[in-house]
Amino acid sequence: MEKEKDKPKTNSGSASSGRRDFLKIGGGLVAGLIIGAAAGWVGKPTEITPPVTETVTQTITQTASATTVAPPPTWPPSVEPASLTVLSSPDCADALKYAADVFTATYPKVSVDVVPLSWEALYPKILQDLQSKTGAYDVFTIDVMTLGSVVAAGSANIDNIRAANPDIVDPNLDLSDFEKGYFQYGSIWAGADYGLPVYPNHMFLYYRKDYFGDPKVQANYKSMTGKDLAPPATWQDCIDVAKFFTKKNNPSSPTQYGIALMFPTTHTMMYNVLNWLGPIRQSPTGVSKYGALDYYYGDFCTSDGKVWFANDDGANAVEMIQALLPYSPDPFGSDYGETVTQFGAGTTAMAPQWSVPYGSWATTLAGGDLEKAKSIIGVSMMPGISDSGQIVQRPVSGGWSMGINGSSKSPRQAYLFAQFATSKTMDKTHWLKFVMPPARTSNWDEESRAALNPDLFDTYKKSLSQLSYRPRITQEPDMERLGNPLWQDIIAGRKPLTDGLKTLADQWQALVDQFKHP
Amino acid sequence: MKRTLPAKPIVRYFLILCAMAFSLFPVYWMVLTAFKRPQDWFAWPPIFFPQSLTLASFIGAGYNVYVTTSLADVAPYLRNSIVVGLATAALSTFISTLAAYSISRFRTGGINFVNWILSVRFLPPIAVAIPVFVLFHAFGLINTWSALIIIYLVFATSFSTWVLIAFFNDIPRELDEAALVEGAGPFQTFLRVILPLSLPGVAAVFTLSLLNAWSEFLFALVLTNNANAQTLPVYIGRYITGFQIAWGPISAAGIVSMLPVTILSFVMLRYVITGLTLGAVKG
Amino acid sequence: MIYISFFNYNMARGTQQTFIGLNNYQEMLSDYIVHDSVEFSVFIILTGMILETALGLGLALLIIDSRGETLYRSISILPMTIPMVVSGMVWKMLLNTIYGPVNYFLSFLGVPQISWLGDPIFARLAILMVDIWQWTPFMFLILYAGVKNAPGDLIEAALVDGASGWQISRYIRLPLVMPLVTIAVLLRLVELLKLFDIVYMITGGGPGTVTYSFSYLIYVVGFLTGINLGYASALSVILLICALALTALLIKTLNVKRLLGLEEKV
Repeated sequence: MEKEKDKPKTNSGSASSGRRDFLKIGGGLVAGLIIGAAAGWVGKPTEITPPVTETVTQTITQTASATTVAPPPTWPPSVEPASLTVLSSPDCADALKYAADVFTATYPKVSVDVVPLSWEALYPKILQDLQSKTGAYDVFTIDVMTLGSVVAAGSANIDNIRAANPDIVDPNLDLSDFEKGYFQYGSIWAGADYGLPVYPNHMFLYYRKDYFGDPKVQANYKSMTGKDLAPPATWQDCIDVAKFFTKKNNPSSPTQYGIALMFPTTHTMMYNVLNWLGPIRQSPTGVSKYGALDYYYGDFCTSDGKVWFANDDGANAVEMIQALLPYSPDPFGSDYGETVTQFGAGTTAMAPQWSVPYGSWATTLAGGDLEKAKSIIGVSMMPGISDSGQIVQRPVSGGWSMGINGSSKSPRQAYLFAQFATSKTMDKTHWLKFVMPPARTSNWDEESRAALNPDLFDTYKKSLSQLSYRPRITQEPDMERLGNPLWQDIIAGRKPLTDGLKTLADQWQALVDQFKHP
Repeated sequence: MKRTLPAKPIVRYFLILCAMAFSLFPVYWMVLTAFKRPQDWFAWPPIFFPQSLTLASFIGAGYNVYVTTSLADVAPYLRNSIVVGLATAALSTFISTLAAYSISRFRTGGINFVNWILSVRFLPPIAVAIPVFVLFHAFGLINTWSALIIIYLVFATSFSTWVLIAFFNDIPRELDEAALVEGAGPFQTFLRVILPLSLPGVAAVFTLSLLNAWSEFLFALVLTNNANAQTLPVYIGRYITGFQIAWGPISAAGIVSMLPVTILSFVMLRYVITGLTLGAVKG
Repeated sequence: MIYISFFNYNMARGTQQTFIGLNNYQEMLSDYIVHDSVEFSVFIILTGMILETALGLGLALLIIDSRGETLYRSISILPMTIPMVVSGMVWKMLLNTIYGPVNYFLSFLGVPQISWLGDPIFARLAILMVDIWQWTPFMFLILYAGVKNAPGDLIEAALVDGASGWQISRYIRLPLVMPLVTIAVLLRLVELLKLFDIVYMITGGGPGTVTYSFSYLIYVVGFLTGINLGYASALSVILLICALALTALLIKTLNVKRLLGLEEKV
């Protein structure tokens, strides 16, 4: 009875407040919409011109026309209207969007939609799409070590596309212009071409040039260790330097920690450990024990596909890592983003990282002043080991190629875009505007070198012949799934060293054995 | 009235204050970060009252990058989320009210049917993600709103039905019988008698369905490819790049994601409370 | 799905499906990641449920009839309305070891810097904390409604008898709300079994494999790397069986049938 009495009241009360509520909901929706739309409209990319490129763009067109072949009258080719979807990693997204805008200016009938997805979302999405032959994406960025699995899933053979459509092949394509190692590793599978290199990338050791060059700091270092302060060439040296720059050990240190390390259980682990394992594997002693490097098996395996690190060499690498851990802010809880912040906020003196953080560091450490950034951010080769009187440094390689979906409904247009995005002019623009190192050797010129940071450019060029590689086999994803957590357990000491390495090696060996080497 | 409360006022208000702070702080931090300059995102000590604010995270600025450091392109995703969310909520409410009425009044299917309905909700979305993808692909539904709506309906309807059954059971049979005496058929009884009385409960399930559809991530990722149909949760993932996690823009996107549903929920809250109050307590 | 669990179907390798019988299930038994995952799932379900219920109940009892009640209840609901992807991202910022506000506040209490994402124990606590933050409002909502529903005359009678506020809460409101607690617990249990978004956004299952919720495990196996659908399906089957078993058990012991009024009315 009580309930019946109450109900009419609430009902009538809510009638007028109902209108208010409706207004509130409407208001909320509209607010959200306005914010979103305004941001979208204002933020619509127009020409972004950072300080460097104004004069440079003119030089680009000049040099381009000077060294390239005059295009035949049938170029650019005419293609049917199409609408392409490009699935891109966030690293490449801005550059590709820029390329898309310029591309559409040349081919107005082809619209290009660039969709960025985070790495974790991108990879399964690509595989799923290729496997199911949906053709939802026409072009996508291939992370180099996933080449095996995307080829198996249905990535298109670009040689075949070119052979079947000679009219869309750019006369200035010049495949030999692509840096050989990257092209081989990131695009060639079983002798056929499956991608065009768009973003060759590998790791460097960044360091605070201003601190390393400070005479007081240098004097301190000399008195504490008896050695001269310099960016470390080996991991052994690195331990000393990192220790020096950690406030806990050395109150006079200008930074709180020596080095920003990242060992999280994400796919970062899989490549990061190679910075320590690679030099051992490719040292003269290593090569004599394990054979020459095989591009399919990578640096975790011997030349005939045996996982090699369940031994003293492997233990040695892990111990080198463990010795560095105390001088790093948060090794197990840090991934890309965290270590970039740590170096960029001045918390650490060194940071092993890829090429791209440079832009954000220029902003946080030098207030966006590129000239000033050159004197603050130093770039050197990733440390390695000393073996048989040589210094062996092997930063891990990565990077992206442009691949084409085997089930794409517009393969001609897709190829045209991929080719355009990796052409000589676009390759150089990507470096100047987006800090994506040039994939083409013709773009390694004075202008590129001077553009951002000569250190970066020089080290990039030098390291191209000294890289370590992840396995490209089709079982690579499974290796990651098992390996990422296990590596951390080993490094953190949660699993005993020899047992842990053996378990991991056995699990990986089981996977590698399933691979059929082409 | 105060004597009905546990613990002294001081203690009580202090505890309440702690709880409110805990609830609010993360939201405050997110809103703050959206307006901070990039160098302040991770300043030390953390900046709680920033001296300088910027709109850069919303409209874009910064060295060379634009797609991944601003809210450019968010509009289509917002639209998709709204469409899918509202459609799911509306449809699931519609279906579940009818179903719940049927079960409550006519015992359709008995306890087994109810159990089955509930058990649908147990299905971990991961398990069926790929098979669903393959199935939808066969029907040409990939990258459409319908795909998302259909799959969300499965989960939303099950939950809503279950809750509404309890609501409807609360409405005394005498009202039904009264309506019957006046010559109303079952459907009219439903419209005129049951529905108005259970409006709060209906509002509650509508809101909860909308919330769930709005924040769902996995199926949105699997079943959609681009801005034609992708929803906000997938959109947010794009800011996690290799060189930085763009916390400012992520926060900005977070605000846009959060505003509509939060405001809606607050509004519906009153209905929900009254509904639950008059609703499911038994014993 | 049950069908596929008996096969060796791996999308990334593009192999044909081959029938391997119960191999997937056997592999599950010896896979240490599965063990870790079960351990974590049990942990999070038990502690999460108990804490969320207790906190939600406590909050409801505290707020009822206080001044500013409507404001408090609105704020209490807030975390629940935020999409989990967003809240995961925000908490990741808050829990940042070096720069995060959480560690900042803790430093005032003299607590040394905690690596929330890098330390196995604290990573689990982090997930627990975020889940509590996000979902206690849900429990709160249901329980609050129940508490509010306590018949006024009973309370009046108690007041006349000289009962204190605490006694009213304990002896009148609490028992009345117990049935509602059951329903809330049931609903929450189902959701906890499917815990995914928070793990995905914040810890990625790490460090090591200590925060692999079962759903996250299925995701990693079946979707992220290798797309080993056979194994993933097997894992899903197990999850389903557990879920069904648990719920059937709960339904039986807590007499939900009667709650739903599906038995014969007396």
